Amino acid sequence: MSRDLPQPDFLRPVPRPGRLGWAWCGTGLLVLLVSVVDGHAAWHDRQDRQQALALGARVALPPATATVAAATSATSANAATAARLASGRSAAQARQAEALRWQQQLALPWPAVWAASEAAPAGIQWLLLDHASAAGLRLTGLAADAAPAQAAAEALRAQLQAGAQLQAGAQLLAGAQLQAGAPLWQGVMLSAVERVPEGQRFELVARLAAAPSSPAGAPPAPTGAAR
Amino acid sequence: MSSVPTDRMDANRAHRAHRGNAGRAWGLRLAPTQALWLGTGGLWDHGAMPGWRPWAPAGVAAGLPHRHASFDAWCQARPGQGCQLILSAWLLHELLLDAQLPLADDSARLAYARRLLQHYHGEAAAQWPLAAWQAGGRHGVSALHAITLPALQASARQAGVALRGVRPWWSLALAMAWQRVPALARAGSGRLLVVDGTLVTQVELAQGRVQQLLQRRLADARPASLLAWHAALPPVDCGVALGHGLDAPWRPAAGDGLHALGTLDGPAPDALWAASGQTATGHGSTAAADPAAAAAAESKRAA
Repeated sequence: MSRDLPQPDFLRPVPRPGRLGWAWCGTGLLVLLVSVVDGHAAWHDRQDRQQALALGARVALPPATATVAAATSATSANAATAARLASGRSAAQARQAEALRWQQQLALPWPAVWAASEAAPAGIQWLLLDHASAAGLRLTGLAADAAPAQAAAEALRAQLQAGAQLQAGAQLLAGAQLQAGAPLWQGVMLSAVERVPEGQRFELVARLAAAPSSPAGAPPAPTGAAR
Repeated sequence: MSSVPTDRMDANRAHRAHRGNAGRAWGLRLAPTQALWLGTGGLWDHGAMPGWRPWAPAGVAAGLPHRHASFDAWCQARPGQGCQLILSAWLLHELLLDAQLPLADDSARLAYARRLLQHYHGEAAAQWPLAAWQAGGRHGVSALHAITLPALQASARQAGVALRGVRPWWSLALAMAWQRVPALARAGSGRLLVVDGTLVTQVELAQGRVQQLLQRRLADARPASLLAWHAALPPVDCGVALGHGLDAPWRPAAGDGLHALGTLDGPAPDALWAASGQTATGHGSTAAADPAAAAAAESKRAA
């Protein structure tokens, strides 16, 4: 009937929302509200779960397994744990510890360590070079007899600190007092000699003259091997 | 019309009043629409219009309608409200366009009506606000000659009132008459007289479709004059009169063929819409043009 009713209006208004419009608006707002509340609860749940996971992972894993060397060569399980750690609330702390470990690794006087193997006389085949700030230098080599091994030990004892070469790295090591001209290595020792079919397999151990103690609170240095 | 504000709008003040914050804007948007009847004697506030809204109006004032001197005065008294202005026939000219006219759309109809009004009323008609309407295949145009629309809108803006509609009273009266006397919409020939003192808007209907829309002047405001004038018109199946402004209450008489809704006196309409469930022969007329309703009333009386 209303379409037969004249409805002149001098303002010529646009139609105002009717009952259905209000109902749609109300329903839409209600759905929005419910989804916001639901999303908020889900976000909280996720945060709690991640926190619990991070806590669990920290308790379950021995600190050494989270080192760089281990992480690079470790199984995917450890990598996954590291990834979860990184995405959790303690991600920032984990990253900081990781950075510290890397800095300590980089701070070691690697040129001197490599020079230790190069200073050896000919006739030695080096099998293993291992260096860590805690354990010191460990060199394993193969020689025809014991004389080249002794010569290598002597060469190591004779190696002097080069000064500027070490300064950059030494600054990063707390308590490291390196002086140019002083012997670089101390406690140089032929720790093991073993007869193998190829000749004599020997092991040299040494410590840097001013090897720093491991910084407090930091995990022990990695025992990465370079072959 | 003397009550219309004629002072020039202070643009800065209007802007400040209009600016408001978002909350006030939304409050204004959601404010219920008050129905205001504007005649030559002032403005009558009929309260909130019927219709669904999210919450009930804050409080329905008793003793409606309230009189205000002008629309401007009402705006000052009720800032932050929405309103629909319903205009007395005294402020309007009505045109019913010939159904045969080749007018494609409303703008063509309005342009045609504008030319016609200018022809009869002079250049003043060039500025009159026009409102086109259509119903049952017929088209018409209402012209507001007494007020300018910008003046109304400026009053509303200055007071922070949302002016939502400006409509002729006869269009609401027709809706109310249909609701209260359903026979009017069904009758083969029907007539609605919207009485506004000595000015009567005559709406001729056939099966509920508008056939004629005329404004007629009575010699005076006596009920007898209305009756005499109506008696001179061709008889119809259902005749309904409503309105106000007669100088004495309408006394229904047998055979006058006019079903009066209300007493047709008083300074303003009693109501602008029918309350829900308010149909048939409530108000005072026994000379019902609707035989079925009359029979029902008769049987009720007998019981």
